[in-house]
Amino acid sequence: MEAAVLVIISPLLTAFFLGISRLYVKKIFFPLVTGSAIIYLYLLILVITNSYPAKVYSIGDWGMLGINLMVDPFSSLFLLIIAILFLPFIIFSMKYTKFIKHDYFIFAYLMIAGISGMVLTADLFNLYVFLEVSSLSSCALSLQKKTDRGIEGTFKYLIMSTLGSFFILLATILTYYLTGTLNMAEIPLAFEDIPFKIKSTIMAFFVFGYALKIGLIPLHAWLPDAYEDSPIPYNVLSSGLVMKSALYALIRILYIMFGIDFLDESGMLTIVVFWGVITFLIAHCLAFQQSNLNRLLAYSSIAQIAYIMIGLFVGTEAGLIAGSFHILNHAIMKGALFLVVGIFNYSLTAVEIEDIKGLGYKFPIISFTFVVASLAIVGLPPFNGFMSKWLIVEAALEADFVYAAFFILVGTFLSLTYYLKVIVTLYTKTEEELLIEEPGLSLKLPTIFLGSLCIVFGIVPSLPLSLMNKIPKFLLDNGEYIRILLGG
Amino acid sequence: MLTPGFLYITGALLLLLPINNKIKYIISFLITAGALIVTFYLIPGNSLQLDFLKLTLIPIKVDSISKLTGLIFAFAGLAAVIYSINICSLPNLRLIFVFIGSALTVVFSGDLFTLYVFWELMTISSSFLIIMASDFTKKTGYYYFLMHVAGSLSLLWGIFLQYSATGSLSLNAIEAGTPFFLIAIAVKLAFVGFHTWMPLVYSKAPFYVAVVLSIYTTKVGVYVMARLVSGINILAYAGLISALFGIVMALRQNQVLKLLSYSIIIQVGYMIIGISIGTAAGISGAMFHLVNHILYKTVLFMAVGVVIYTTGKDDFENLGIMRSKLPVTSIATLVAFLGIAGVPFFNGYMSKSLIKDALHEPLLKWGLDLMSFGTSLLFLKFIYYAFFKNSTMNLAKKPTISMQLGMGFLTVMMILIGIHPYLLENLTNMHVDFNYFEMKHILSGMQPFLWSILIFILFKKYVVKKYDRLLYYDMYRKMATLFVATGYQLSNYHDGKLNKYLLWATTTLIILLFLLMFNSHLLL
Repeated sequence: MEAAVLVIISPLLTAFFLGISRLYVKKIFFPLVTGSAIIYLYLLILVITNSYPAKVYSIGDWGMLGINLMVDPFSSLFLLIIAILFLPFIIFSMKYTKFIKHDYFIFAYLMIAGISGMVLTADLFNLYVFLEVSSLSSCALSLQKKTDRGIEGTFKYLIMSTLGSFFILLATILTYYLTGTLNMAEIPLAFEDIPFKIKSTIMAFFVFGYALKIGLIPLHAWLPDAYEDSPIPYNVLSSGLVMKSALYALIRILYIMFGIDFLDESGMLTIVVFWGVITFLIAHCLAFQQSNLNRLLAYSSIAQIAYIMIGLFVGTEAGLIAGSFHILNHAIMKGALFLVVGIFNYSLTAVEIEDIKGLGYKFPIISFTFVVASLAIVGLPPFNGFMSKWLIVEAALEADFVYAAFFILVGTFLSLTYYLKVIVTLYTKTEEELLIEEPGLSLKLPTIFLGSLCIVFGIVPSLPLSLMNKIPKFLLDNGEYIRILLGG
Repeated sequence: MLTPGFLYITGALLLLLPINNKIKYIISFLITAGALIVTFYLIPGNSLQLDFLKLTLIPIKVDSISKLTGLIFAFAGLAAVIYSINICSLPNLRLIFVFIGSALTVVFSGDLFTLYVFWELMTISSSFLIIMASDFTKKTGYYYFLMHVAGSLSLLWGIFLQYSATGSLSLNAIEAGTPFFLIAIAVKLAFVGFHTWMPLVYSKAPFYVAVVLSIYTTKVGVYVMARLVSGINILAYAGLISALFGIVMALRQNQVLKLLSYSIIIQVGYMIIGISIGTAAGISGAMFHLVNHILYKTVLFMAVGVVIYTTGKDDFENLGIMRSKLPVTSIATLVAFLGIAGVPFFNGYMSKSLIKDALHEPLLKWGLDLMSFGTSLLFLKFIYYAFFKNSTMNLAKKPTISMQLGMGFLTVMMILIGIHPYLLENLTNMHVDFNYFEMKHILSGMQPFLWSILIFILFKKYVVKKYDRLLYYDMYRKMATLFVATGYQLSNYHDGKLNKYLLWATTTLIILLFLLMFNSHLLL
């Protein structure tokens, strides 16, 4: 049982010891960072494999008063993403970061602690606390380059993120005021007597607050600015985990606290699907305009999140499976893409599309990874992005969102326009002599690992889907979740 | 079960190993010849099932039509790989293998999912082949990729509609979403209006790429059309219009490769007409025409490729080198010319008269004659430059043996089919009750050819004239400009001012509350 608790505690402890080691013993820095990442991976795998049937851990045996942690397939999906991304992130960052390493890794571990807390907790206020831990350390990480642009972008990020947190806190307080409890299982039971309009308003605050963190258009504006000059390995975690964890919290709150029937009745499903379609169409249009690779990938993240939103909000079993699968796939694909850009940035400080001209011939394997990941994210077979998009479209059609399904295909076409632009530049020969710092194996290996996962999950999608197939059981029917939580 | 497509894709993977030239030859030969043999021994009626997620896939299903198409694909693949093995680089050879492999898998696929996946894989591999092949084809490759992906997404949408309407992915006649299937096929087989990629790509890409692409891209479109949307009679007229457009455009071209590309549009017109009749005779005529077309058009592309290889350009003037310096190429070209012109005792004649015989409407019959006439007229121009005009060209370098070998294979096959047209029928058990050597068929086959010679001699100065390049209106580029302009307008709003961001956020909150307060089912 302790494994789930340790998943939150161990990164916190690591962050603490990293701070200590900075003051006293600098030598153990490297073994501490990697060692704890490996132990953490082991812990995650332990928790993920025991995630079905769902389990509840109440800390300190305080029962419903104390803190409850719950592991169900949906939270273990996020633990799986942490497991896949975190070790490559650590290995990559070791070599990549040329600035002060201590701060960077301390914040990275804090952020992971926050995210794993968010996905495990079964308490609304804890959720808010962990959200703040992860958002603030995420802001701190994005600042690490300390360039003018980086500071400006982070400032915008901080302001918008705080605005979002404010509304989430407001909604949390309102919920507590109305129901007198913050336990996820007790709220839905107490919610039954609350008038429809008041519930709608609380839901609107939750959705608005989290949408700011997720970055749906027009709440997205901070995102490309923040990505533009932040450490690139951080972008991997940011688009793969920070944005996704906000999405996790939103889904958890809406499906468990409000329940699918209320979502349907109040029209939230229709609104979010429509919002998603608008978001990815505009995001694709804007992505084509970008000349900076990080900004381009940021817009692409916004668009992909919109696909995920559509999948999760069509309100059927197939939709939840498809959306969850796309969450995993997007983390992998975007991770691979950002790492490739990170290598280019490391080797010849490339940031613009123009800067990577001709690199396809200098870095054949890395460029091939980029091609694979970008075709995957566009959604072409036989890569993983295609499988999850196929499932999303199928689910949308089943739930009678025909326009959404159609526009997803249009979006696929639009996303090809800008990714292909980058690929063509990558393979255009140039006369210029380039000064290249050779990227070592520690930069290449994580990149290739994520790139090859794109192919593996594309050809054998049943591998991750065996986990996803259990997700709807605990979301669509909130009674199941409540029963387990109260019973535990 | 070993499938030819799988064999090719394995070949592409084997070529990833660090190998020297000799092993490259051995692998290529084994794979291409092996695929031909495997295809030859596939038994119609065989199929294989595979469970994938919730779908039941049939990655291979053989019947007489797919076997015939598969045979000619494998045969032409052998010839094309031999032809280009010395010219193209190793990465390109891999892409060619993936391309041929996916084309073969499409032909033998038994369900729409497999069909779509490999259809898209064809697009990806051929686009990268174009992009990687030379420095001048980046934009062309971009255009080609986008256009074909638009086509295949249309196919995907059609598949989704069909799947949600019928609940099955089997490869039967389409019930829902026919227009989307038609758009997808139209892009692939370069129907007029959707053809803009073809002359562009085939004239700009290196000639060996054009050879490989011209064998499969359009023909896969034809095959899938025969499979999914045969028998829509009105399309016969569409095919006729497309072909007539092809003739007009082809006559204006100054580049030989462009002439050949437009002539593909004409030939595909025959196949569309044959398929649209919908009768067994019409469809088998169209499929036989597909076989013959692959043979002679590939030989013509290869011959022009030899000319480009030896002289460096594909102007009509350069064709003159054939007569004096390139004997093998000359013979191959002549045989291919007589085939494409539909002269009796050469291969094109057989399928053309089959399609003509299956037709019953006088307008279409007359149109078919017009198409044959146009085809032979524009290839007379080709022949005129190749054999009758004096030329003072010199060989820059000699054509390689492998190029001539690849061309020779196809030429021998053409002659065989021409002399013994029943060969194709016996090979696949597709029997059509037709006597090719009856006097009336021979006469009607000869007529357009003789007329075209007469017209060519009378109006030679118009046909052989050098026309100005026609700058035509490209709708797709206009649409792209619109997309870029919209994006530009939108990105202007995003100027980095924080108060603007906050304004957007507030507006969103207000709209969200508004939508939730009033029932949004009515609003959206």
